[in-house]
Amino acid sequence: MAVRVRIEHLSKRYGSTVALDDVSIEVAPGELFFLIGPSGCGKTTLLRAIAGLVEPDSGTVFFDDRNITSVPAHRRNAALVFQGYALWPHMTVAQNVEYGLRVRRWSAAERRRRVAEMLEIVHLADLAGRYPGELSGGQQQRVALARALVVRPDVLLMDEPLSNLDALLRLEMRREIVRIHRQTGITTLYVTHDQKEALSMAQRIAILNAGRIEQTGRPDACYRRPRTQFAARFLGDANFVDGTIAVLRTDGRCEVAGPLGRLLVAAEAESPGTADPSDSGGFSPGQSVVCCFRPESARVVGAAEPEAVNCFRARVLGGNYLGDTIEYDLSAADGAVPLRIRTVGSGLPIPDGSEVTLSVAPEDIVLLKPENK
Amino acid sequence: MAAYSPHAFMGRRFSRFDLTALALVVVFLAVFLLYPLGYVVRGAFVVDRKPTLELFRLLWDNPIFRISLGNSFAIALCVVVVSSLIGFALALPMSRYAFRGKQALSALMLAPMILPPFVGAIGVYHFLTRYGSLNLLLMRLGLINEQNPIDWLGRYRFWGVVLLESLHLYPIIYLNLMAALASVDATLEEAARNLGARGWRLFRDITFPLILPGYFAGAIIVFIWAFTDLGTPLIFGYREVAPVKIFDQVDEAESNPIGYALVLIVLLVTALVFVLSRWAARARWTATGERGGLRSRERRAAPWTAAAIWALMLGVTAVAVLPHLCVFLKSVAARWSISILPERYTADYYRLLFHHPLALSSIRFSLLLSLFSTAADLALGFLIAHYLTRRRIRGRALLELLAMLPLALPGIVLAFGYLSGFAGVPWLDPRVNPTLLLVVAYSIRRLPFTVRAAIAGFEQTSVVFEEASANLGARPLTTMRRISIPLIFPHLMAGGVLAFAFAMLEVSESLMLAFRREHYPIAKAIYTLVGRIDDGPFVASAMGILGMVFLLVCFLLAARFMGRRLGEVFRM
Repeated sequence: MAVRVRIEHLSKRYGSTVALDDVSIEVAPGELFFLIGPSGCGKTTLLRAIAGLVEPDSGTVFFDDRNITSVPAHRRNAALVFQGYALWPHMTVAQNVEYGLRVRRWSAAERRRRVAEMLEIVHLADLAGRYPGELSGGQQQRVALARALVVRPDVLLMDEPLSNLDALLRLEMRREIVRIHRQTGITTLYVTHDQKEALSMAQRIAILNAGRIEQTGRPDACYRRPRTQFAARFLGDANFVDGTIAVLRTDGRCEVAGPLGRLLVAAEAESPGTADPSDSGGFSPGQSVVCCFRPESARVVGAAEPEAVNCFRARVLGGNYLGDTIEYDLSAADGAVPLRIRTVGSGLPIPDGSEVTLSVAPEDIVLLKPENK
Repeated sequence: MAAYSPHAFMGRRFSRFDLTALALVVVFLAVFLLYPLGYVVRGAFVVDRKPTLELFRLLWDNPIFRISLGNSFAIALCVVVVSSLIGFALALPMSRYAFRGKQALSALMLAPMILPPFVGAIGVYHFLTRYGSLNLLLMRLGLINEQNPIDWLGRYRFWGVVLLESLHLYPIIYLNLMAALASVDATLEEAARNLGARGWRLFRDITFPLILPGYFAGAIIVFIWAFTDLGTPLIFGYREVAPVKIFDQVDEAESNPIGYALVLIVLLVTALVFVLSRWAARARWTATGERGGLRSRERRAAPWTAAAIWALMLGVTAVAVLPHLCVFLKSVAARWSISILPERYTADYYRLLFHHPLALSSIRFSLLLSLFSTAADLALGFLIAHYLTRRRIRGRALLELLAMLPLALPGIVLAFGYLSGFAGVPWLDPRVNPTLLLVVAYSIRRLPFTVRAAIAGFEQTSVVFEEASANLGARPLTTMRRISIPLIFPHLMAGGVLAFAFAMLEVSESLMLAFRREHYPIAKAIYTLVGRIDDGPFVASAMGILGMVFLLVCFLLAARFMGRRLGEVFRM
């Protein structure tokens, strides 16, 4: 029933700006798929190309096996929730929601029943007669959602739907959208620049940077095993330590020599979504790499743990109390390597200037290729 | 976010509707705008199927034509100067200060626009005749000799025409200046003041250069209007001007081809002045700074400043209304000769309007013509604006130019082109029945109003509303009908109301294209009535007053629909 969306080699440029550069993704039927990236990365262009509001320069868009690249917007049945909602100011809430049914020539009775049902789902039944100008941001957002969902679209597209809401409402609407997605089972593409929104809601994400896809995969996989420094940085804080492969061990691990001494790193093989044979295990001794690990992966170890692996000394520059956690900025290797770690907030704060020993598990370190500078 | 192409939502391919609509627009403009102009140009250079410059030599050798062209040019220049002086004097304080009743005063500033100068001319003519009100007043005061009254109309007809036209046209300068001044960021002036510039110097170095393009946009319309106005000099009996000479050629267009050359010269002067003003007003800079960050220059006026502004505005408006006050007096005067004011008053002439065969039929006929021409303007204006703002079409710049061209195109030129170009064409020959051609002529002349208004509407309405409609499955036509039209409706209405109002009192085409009594529009009926002895001028005055009341209502409607942006309609 739900539709598979397949995008192949999509490119689009505006003058000299490249908005999309050979983008290919596949979204499974019924999936809640997120496109994330900084502003200007092309994610909105990609969404609009799927809706038929942007003509790609080259590439193909498929809904199931139908090539819809040159199908005009009004025949795609891919409902878009616009960033600014684009509610028609001259129509009431009910008329806005009803519009899609009207152009599909539903009977008046059917329309009324369906609109009422839809407004019920988004908790707006008592505001049906209001005009958009009389609604709060959150209410407008829900009207936009209802207007898109009411036509039972093959694909639901959402363009930063929560960006105009305040923080509290945003949290509530996140749960709401996930609930409605589960209820309807519609293939959904969701654009956002908010990585927390993506990590908490998505079934899969694609990270875009300057018109290119950096990584595609499950949120946890992308977070724990980023494939590029950009992907690592965009999903949260990350530490990067340069090094060279010293030894490739037979157990699939390898040793990396660098300013923090030798670091033991676990193999890449198990990370799903990145199973690119040309890449995994493609490292050879002597090759330059970047070791990447998350702040919460580093552990402060005491003298009582002599068996801990990947230990190194670092000096605390300053702490930042965040309630549930405490963030520390540190420097290691005589100031050559800046680091950030995160500990639980209930622990004893570490005074500035003190020397600590840190340890990172081999499984928590990801090897990345150095970026071209 | 990257800029996106606003046209994609309707698809790249053009539907059958698109092709039909575009073809219709193009054919309409080609047949009724380009063809008659081309016909005039050809007529000026080709005599007896042979190319020649003979006509221009004849024209040059005839002192009457030379003098007439010179007079028209001089009138236009003087009108630009006078109306600019008034416009600046009003716009500078109005844009600078906020005070009580400013809104009402702004509306009042538009009043002279609804007073057609050729109607005012009827009143002024009466006021200035040998034994007219002015001379009688001067005699009463003992300033002039009763046996030897001043021949105002003989000596000062030139200035009479200049004054009447200036008093009619200064609101165009004023509106353009106000729009330009409104977009001058206060910080720019503050920066200059901060560096020590004040008063005149500040205006000359900072403010004036910034509003110059806006000023020229208004001035060029005023120039063309005054240069080619037929009604005012005709009523004033000032026949040594180019438009009247062209009007006189109408009857002998077949036998004497010199009219073509005269029309072409008028067209060339218009085009030249237009290009020159465009060049002079070209923006040599691009605005820096965010539009959203615009800070108003307006500040609260001290009570005495406010009072002074009120006095200035009311004073100028009173002078501008004076000629039409004369017309009003004339329309209610039972007897008015050799007395300063009428001796008795009556409402008979207004009653007569509904019985007088010529008055009644002309009002009905004008109403019919204006309704149809406005409907055409609305449809064409919406379509053209849609294709210009929402779609990617080839020849976009050309279409925009053609749609805006009539603003700079004198009515007499177009009318002359129609008269000669469509002679003998079935359905269209104005000598047989001018109805269709008058509808077309009115709609071509007023097309820029609706195009401009609709473009402003589209530009102010985000394209996402139309995208959302297409996204939900609405076909392009449905999107147009249910989303685009309702959203830009106020703008369309404003443009339409103006087009309608100006069509009702249109002068040059009405005078030149209507030949039989039953085909007389209002303007031609007024002109005919003025020429009669009996009660003709009085009935004409009543018709003029009625027309002005009608225009007033239309302007109020348009202002209501479009608000402060009304001035944009009168810009190039």
